[in-house]
Amino acid sequence: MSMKARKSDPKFLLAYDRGMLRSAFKSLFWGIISEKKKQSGGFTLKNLAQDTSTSKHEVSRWFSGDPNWTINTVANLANALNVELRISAIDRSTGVVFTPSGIQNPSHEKKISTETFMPMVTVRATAGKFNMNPTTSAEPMQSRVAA
Amino acid sequence: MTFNTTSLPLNRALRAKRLLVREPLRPLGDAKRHILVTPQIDAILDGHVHYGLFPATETERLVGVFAAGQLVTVSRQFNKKRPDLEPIVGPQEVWALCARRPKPGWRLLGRWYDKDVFVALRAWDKTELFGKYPAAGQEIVDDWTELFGGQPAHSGQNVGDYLGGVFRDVDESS
Repeated sequence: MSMKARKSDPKFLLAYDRGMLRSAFKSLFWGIISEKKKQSGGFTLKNLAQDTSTSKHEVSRWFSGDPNWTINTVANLANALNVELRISAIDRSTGVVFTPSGIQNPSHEKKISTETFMPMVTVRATAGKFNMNPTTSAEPMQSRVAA
Repeated sequence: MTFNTTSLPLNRALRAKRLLVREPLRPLGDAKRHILVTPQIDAILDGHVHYGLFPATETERLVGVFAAGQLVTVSRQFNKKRPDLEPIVGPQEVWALCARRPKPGWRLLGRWYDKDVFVALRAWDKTELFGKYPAAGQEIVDDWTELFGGQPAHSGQNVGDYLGGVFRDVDESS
């Protein structure tokens, strides 16, 4: 089956989207961990393991493998890293942004729908003191992952 | 995904379609990194050559993750930590992008044109590559010279000299 055919194969796309979502969470948290390590020399995976009630080996394995975390584990990591996750989803066909409290910024919809965008679930992690993405220093880190 | 370069040799290779930008399965509006591949590699990844093996979800995910600037693991110490990216033993600055699943996986060998711009020139089945790293590395150097003339491969001291975005240097103690 060619790539063109695969792109229209729902099972192939689903497997890709699942993998990308797992990768996005992993990348989001590793970005935060890396920044914490830079800003606080004392921060280690051992600390994180303690705060998430798991082993250092397991934490290390998470970030070199392909973890399929439960939502509770995601929450544990966010809690341990002192970040707040903000969740939104963008409709692939219309560009409308959904948040847990409804449609976001409806007046902005028209603008979004005319831009090239990647339909996605967006998870933002915000923390008070550190900037996690040097290319968007004024904004919180944003991980864009396929829905 | 748009990829713009002011480098003449790279521009020439792209215009002549001797290199193609490997796009993620789901297009990104704002790619942070770029994988350029030969038409032969593009055909392999698209499943036109090894029917049944490709396209592979995991390989496409690696391309997607790389392009999005998300976490990739890197090792420069030739160990068994199974990184996504590693230099290969042999000629300088030849790297492997490692698609490890399904096992035994494939290796896209190439060099860095610039930070965040990886040029994959040959694709190897991992089992066939075993024991041939020096020759495969030299092949990449030769391909590079044929494609870009005297343009040196990008090199750096640290992983951050090669990659922006999120990465993990698995050689560092955690």
